[in-house]
Amino acid sequence: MESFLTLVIAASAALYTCAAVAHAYYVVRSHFDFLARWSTRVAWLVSSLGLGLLVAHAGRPPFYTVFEFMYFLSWLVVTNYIGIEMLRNNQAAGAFVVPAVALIQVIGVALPKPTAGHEAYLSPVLVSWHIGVSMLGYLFLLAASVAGALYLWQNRNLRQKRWGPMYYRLPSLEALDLWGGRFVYLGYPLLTIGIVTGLFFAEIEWAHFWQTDPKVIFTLLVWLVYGGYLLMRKVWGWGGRRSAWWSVIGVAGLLINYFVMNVLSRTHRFGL
Amino acid sequence: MHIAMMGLNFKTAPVEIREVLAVPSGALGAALERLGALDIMEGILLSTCNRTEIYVVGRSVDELYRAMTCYLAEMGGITDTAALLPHLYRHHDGGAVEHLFRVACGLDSMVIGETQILGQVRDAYRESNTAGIVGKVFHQLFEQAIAVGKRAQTETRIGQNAVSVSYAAVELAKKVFRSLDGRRCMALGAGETAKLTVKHLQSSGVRDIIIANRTLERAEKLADLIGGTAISMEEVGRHLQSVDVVISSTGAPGYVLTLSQVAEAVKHRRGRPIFLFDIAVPRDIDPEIARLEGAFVYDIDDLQAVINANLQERAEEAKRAERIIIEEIEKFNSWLASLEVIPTIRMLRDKVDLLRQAELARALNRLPDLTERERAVVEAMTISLVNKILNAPTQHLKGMAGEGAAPEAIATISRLFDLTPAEMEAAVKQGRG
Repeated sequence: MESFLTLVIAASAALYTCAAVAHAYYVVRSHFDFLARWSTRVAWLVSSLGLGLLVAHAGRPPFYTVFEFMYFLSWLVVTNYIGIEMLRNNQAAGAFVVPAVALIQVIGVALPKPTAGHEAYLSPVLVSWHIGVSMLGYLFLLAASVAGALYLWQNRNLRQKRWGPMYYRLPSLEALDLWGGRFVYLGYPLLTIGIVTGLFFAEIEWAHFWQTDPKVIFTLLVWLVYGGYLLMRKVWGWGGRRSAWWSVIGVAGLLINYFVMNVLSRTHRFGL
Repeated sequence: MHIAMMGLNFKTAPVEIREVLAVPSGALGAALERLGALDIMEGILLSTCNRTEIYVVGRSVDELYRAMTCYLAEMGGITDTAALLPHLYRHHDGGAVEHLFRVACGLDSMVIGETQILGQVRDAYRESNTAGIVGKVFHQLFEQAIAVGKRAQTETRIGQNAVSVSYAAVELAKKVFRSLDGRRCMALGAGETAKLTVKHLQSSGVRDIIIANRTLERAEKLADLIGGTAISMEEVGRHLQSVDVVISSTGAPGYVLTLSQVAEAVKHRRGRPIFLFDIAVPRDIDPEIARLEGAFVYDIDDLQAVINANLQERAEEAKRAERIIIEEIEKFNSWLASLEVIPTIRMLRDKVDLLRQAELARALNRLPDLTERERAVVEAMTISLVNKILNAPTQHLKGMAGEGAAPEAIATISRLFDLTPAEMEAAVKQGRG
């Protein structure tokens, strides 16, 4: 079972790598779009199988260890991306999404695989909600950053007059700006709920909601950054390039929060 | 039976030759009548300003080529056929089919992927059909050609990107604005290209149009024509902040729009972008304006570069269209091949049906006491038996013909069912008629 799981995970990592190369080629030369599209779809199928095996193996939702969380999040990202790709018949976003996912998957191969069971918490349901909702929030904020990055790319195409393949594939600046905003509108409340459930959990588990912890503090910072983003859009009617940069930088904070702060944090030690 | 085509287009013949061989719509009836008078089974004449082509069906390719050359020479009043020959191209059978499909997809056009030619192919087919010189081969071929052209348009992006300055401007604006619905536009100068661009913008949903000109009367005239408001050049600055797209084409020697003017407008627009097209030479819009956040400036060279990129993009898409064409040629070929075996199938059916009728009559004679209903049941049984037995051989005949083995298939069936050569001959003739 375990060796089969490893095999499936390695296979999906290899397929995503192939898809990432095909996407890179597609962006530059407009070739290999077929290979890019289908290798991504097949990779998604294989990683779905991997996810299923993971859940069956550990017997719990797949977000208690760093590997599980990354594997699940990248699966969610690709699921949404493939949905958009099929609905819009446009694989431009794949140029960002697929290489990132491939990287995560390759790192994932090296990470230790989970063993069954996890720490007994006083309120396991709250933990699941805390992680699950935060994860959805991450998903939308990641999507917003992809929209932001695509905005910056298309803006560069239009300003520097580069009429390459991406100029044709990408939608209008206004549409990218609009979607970037919408994703944050969705992701921010989810992140907020994630934080609040975390505070509740701390209250029950450690008798006090406030734990002076690097991750908690950094998360609040990220929360404020996105709050500022929304304020800026709603109240001052900002948008466009500044907004796109803001969301790309915001997601960098999110990634630091996840990869660096988890190591420093006392309360967020995932089973590594 | 063979399909052949001959013709000339903008690549092979200069305009002096093309114009004498172009058929004006008034002379089309007579030209088709003369085409029908040739020794051909079917014919279609396609004449546009860029090409004149004849498609025919006949018995011998060489004779068809000869007849078509004479026809074209006569049409152009050219006595020296040898002078015409270098300008002509010709194809037969698969080559002719491929050529027609490529023409219908716009792959053979001056501007790759243009759709006008598809309508012209449809018209040519319709006119020749009305003249009564289209038979079942060309019905199939041209209807399929029209379908191929439509497939190329819907399944590839071959006709998608603009190839004229006015459309390229609209397309660029659409890469910034999500939609042009309800946007406002200002035209500086009332030139032809500006007028065209404004019209394209209007049909994409742009509502309010402001026209500024040095002489107010001309602006008013154009404003009346396309439905907009006319203003004088002095008022431009005041209106600038309220418009999304500006098209400038004045004959002024210096810049009409200055950096400070646009900077002021951009500030008032609070992040909403403004789009400026400068199609005037010398330029009307200070290129420094492009540095402003929220202002996009394109001059005539930029638009030309977009068009060149678009043409390259179309050439890339043309490869996809070629794949569709290969698929469709295969489809047509198998249809054509099955046509060859149709007389044999008909003969086979006739023969077996005669046997059936004779045997049925004999059986019914020996069963005089049957009721009307019982007789009907027996007869229905014989018909269904014959159909069921002949179904597989019929399908396989068509299948073998599709694989290019029609002569062998016909020979085998004739031997197995004892179809005599005389009967065959008659059936083949009947099939052609």
